[in-house]
Amino acid sequence: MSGGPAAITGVGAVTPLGTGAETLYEKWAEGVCGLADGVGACRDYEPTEYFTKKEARRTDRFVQFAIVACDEAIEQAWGGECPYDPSRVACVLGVSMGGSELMFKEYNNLQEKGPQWVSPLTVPVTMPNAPPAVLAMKYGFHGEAHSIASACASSAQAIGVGLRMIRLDEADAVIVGGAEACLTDYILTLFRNAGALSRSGNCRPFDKKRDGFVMGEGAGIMILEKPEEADRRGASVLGELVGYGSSTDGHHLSAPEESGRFAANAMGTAMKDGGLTAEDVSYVNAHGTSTQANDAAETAAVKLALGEAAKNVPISSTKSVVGHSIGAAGGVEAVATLMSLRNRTAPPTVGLDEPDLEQGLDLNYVPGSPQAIEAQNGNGRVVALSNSFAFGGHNATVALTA
Amino acid sequence: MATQSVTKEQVEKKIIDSLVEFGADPDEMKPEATLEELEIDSLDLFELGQILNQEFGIEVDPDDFENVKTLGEAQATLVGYLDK
Repeated sequence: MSGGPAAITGVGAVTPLGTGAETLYEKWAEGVCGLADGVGACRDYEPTEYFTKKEARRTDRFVQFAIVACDEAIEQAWGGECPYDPSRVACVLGVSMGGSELMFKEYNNLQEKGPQWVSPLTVPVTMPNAPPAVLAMKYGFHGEAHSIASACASSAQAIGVGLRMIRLDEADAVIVGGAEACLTDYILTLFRNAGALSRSGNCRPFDKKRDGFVMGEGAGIMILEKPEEADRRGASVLGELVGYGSSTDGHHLSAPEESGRFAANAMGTAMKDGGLTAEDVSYVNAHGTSTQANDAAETAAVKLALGEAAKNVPISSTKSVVGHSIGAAGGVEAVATLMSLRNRTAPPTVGLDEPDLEQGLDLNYVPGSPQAIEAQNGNGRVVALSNSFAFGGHNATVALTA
Repeated sequence: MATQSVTKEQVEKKIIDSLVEFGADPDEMKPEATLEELEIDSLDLFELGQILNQEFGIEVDPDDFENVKTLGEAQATLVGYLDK
């Protein structure tokens, strides 16, 4: 039973491949990898291009990424003027770590120098809800706004909440996605010691030699609107968010449940929610972290969710070129998925040389070069699922069409 | 207790330099400019107080700024601590 779609009218992204959703797609499709020195940093990003000195001082890097990506998406959707009552524009963004750099710098100030040295900006700059708050201040939005924290599933769950808000008529438009910027020695050490980071510094999703993820940073944003309102105002609709599914492993603090059955439930729920069957799915944007555990469990989940249809569907990992941006990943990947659908092209899983057949990783992971995304259901539209699975066992899948 | 050797001019310069560092427009830093016009808020004033404390040993009481509206008034209040 489908609850109806949300129209997607704008997208924006900041990633290690550069600023812009088009840039993200085009470079990925060309096989350009944004990872270097064991991280996926947004090296070309320069705050002064986008923010005044005061704005930059009062926003953490993850907030800035969110605002830059929102600006792009809003410009595409609405140009200079929001067509809706500002009280009917909502914002739900994902984040996991928040403003980690300043938080720990000021903690060190407290320890080393004393409380009188701790910046009064620490809370407003680092708070995980800063991106929707700053966005509302900038644009004068007054609808519901908050952040969702479910580690690597944060943004995908934010997108799901946005879809529900559109369906329940709680807003005319919802700005969804997420942002993250936590490439600090401290946070990298935490993930390394949790056994999640690649020791070699290489991201090789689904490969025999995969040894962990490469941490990235960035933001991915989409503007959701009620389809009838988007139609009424003659909006240029990029695609639709048609379904959302989520589940929880209830298994382990960091490791995925090995059989993938709960992740498969999220995928199945997203398809059912969108009125789709496995045969409709033309592309799967994998969570594809390059950890031993994820890629095996995700492959198992795809097989459970799609059955026979899993054998040929192209499945690729955006993380192979931008790394794992944790709370932003689901937003970045939903944007990348939509762009891939619009271009009818599945960009490749870069770094994949030899699929791990011994562990049953025998699906079509789009190695080497892009593959065509072909309509499966006869109406010319193409359908994709984008997966996000998280520390804590949170699973979330969004279903998109274009 | 403020250090005796600190001058009014030193404190006034530090105030201007700090507010500019926070992002205020240097050309707008006139005594009659209101804090609102300069987009200086309670967070800036708290941080300014920290800097003056660290530099000159001045103990700033936020309550003293309750009725302060302009940059000139803020400077006078802060310089006034030198006499306390």
